[in-house]
Amino acid sequence: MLEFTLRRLFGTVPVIFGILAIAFVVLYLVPGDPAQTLAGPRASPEAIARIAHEMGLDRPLHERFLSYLGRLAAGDLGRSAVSDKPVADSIVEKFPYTFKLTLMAMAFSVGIGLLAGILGAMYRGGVVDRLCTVFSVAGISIPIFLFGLVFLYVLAGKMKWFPTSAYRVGDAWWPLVLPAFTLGVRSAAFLARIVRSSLIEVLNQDFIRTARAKGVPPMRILFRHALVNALIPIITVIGLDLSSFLNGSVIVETIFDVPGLGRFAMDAILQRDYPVIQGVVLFSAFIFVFVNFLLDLVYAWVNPRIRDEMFGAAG
Amino acid sequence: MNRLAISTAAIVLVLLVVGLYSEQPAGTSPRFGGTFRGYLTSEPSNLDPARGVDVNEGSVQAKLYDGLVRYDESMRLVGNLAESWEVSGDGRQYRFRLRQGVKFHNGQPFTAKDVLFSFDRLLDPKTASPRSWVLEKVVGAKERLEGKAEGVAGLTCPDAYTVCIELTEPFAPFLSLLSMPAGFILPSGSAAAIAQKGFFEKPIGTGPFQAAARERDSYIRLEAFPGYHGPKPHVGAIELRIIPESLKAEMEFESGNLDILQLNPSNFQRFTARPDNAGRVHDVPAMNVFYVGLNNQAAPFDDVRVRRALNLLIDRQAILAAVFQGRGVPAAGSIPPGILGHSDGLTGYGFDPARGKALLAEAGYGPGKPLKFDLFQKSSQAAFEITRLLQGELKKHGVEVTLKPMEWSALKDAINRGEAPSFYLSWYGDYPDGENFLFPLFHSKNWGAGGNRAHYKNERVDAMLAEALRIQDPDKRGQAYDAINRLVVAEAPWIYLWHTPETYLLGPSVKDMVFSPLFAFDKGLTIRTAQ
Repeated sequence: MLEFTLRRLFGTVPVIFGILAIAFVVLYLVPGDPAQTLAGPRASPEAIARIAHEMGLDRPLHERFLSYLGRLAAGDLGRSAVSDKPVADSIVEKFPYTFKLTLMAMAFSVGIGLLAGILGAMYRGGVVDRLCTVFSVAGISIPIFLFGLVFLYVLAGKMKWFPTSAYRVGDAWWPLVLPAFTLGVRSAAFLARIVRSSLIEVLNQDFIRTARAKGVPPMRILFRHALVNALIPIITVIGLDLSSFLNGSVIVETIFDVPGLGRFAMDAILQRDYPVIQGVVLFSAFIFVFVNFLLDLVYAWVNPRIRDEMFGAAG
Repeated sequence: MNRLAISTAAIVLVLLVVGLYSEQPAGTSPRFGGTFRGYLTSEPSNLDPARGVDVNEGSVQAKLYDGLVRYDESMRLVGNLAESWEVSGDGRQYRFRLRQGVKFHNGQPFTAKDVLFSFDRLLDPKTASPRSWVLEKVVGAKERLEGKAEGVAGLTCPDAYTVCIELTEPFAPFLSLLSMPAGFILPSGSAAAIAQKGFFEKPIGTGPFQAAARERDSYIRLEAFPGYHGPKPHVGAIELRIIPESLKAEMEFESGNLDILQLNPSNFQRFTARPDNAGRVHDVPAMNVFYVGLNNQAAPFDDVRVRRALNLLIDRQAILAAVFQGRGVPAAGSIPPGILGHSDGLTGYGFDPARGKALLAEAGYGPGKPLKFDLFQKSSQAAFEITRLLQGELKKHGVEVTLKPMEWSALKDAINRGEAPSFYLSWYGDYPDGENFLFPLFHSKNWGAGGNRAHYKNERVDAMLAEALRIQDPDKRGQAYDAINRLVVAEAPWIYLWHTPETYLLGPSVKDMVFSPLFAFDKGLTIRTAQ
């Protein structure tokens, strides 16, 4: 187990380094000069040059990358080029909102997705299945900003069931319910399809028929035998959504005024705030690697064959 | 340290604290109250006056800090931290008499030292201020900016309440420039904190409001400063939320969560048609000019006939009627009405398609060889609403326009590099002076990021612009700017479009509010809310 963990941890180093290097080059290639953005309208070339110098933009790319890595090794994510605020402080400030939003969105996603998928598989071809299919097709094909705006307008604006915004949310959870629901719907719809098709595939296998023939109660077959064996693709989908939610959702956070990571990153991109973009990319890479690491552990826990492969048969 | 020393120190500390508290004047409870709930369209990222360049930053800074002078609600230049000032006959010496008894939010008294500190900081190369040009005409500014001098020779204070500024040459708009956020005064007593940068998380100024609470990307709350030196604000607090989406702002306004809503062409009809909004709509003549910039250095727009022709092919009145409900005026030149240098005598191009087409034919374009070009624009709904109409108008006359929507930073980059043959943009003035609508936009030294994005160059215009800066008499200066405006218009570096007002809808809890054309830099003194 320890060996596996260590091996995985070392494996992440080149991944994260690669992501950082790519982000650095991409930022370099993207049009839009950060010094000019900072300088605003009516800036003299000298002023822009001074700002570029202050930001270190006048040095060659590899030098900038190396010095960035050096600072990173010392645990310094740098300061925002726009606000001068330490990037690490901002991430620490913003992440809790995104984290709370993610937890609730995942609850919606897994709850609704599993339920709709199981119902669809159980009553395959029936009315319930058709309703679930309509839900999942709609959920996948309707863009999230439309969901967000419609929910906001109808449920919050007209019906007044929810607050219109998560502004000044502080420690409260309630204002995050609607944004979390919006974020969760799409992923629930996708999950429902995966659950349904994986379940149906398993339910058609011989061992299920054997269990039925032996007189095992249907519910026990479904949860004890079928669902457990259908879990791998379901967990994969949940894991992917989890890491993408944790990196912040620009659209939902903007529509509902959630001051989370997504909006922070978007602002930084629009302003070409390189240190912030780099910091968020690095953080996101860590999240992604970490969630994937967790996923591996869950796979192993769910499927003994994988466990044996990873930890050795004696494990 | 021995016990006696510790207890002495403790006693001194207690006395100090008691002293500080009892110093607060008793019985002068402020008469203000209520909270005004407004919004900004983007996070005011930087509250450092030397670093902020956008309108949202400026609008918060104007409430937190004061400059030596400011524009009041009727666009008059009045004293702010300066009580009075004199300008020498040659226009090079400025002497400001400072207001006494002014305090910063932290209780420190304001003196000439703070002015010198703030101005020196603006020119300090370490500050790397994009707005150092505000003081670039001060004697010694150049040396300071280049790191060749420790201080600025032209900035002196003969006593604690007098500041003298010497310029290298007469520069008539100097006072206007000082009214900008870059001219705001910071407390010299906090120099160490300011250098540490953390200061601007909760900044200290002398302004009518002080920073109370803030969450990035969410809101900023300003509370009235009881010790403000000027007429106190009526409202107890201003809370500004960050709402980039106009649809979201509409909803919040409708739900009663905002006291103000900026209307735009797409929602104007819907809100103004409602009877309960009658009397709450305010049109504010804004200091702006909308235009399609043409790259004057590259084909096809290096030919003045083509540039003039395009100006003649646009029916501005029709577009204003269709999109802006007829509010707004066609732009004859770049200087908006009401600004020094504007003249009603300048009529501009007007709509004359026959003449326009003749000019195009003369330049070699016609049905056989239509004029084709790319129009760069910001990829926003507001920009599309206009550019689609322009595209349609020109199509009628055989001109083929391809729209190139781009993200804002990339767009600016393309324009500044001269890669965009034409581009839809606007210019909002920083201060009400013709200089602000000509010098940055058309002087050849300002090509690109400096403001002259059309890359226009005319040596006569350059010389006249430089000359106008030296004229002290406002009337003569106005005439000079009118003459320059005419000269530029004749060469049509832009397709001049229009000046449009900004329209605001106030919520029912706002009793009164005075809007000025510089609303973005309003100090929040005129807002009154029902409590």
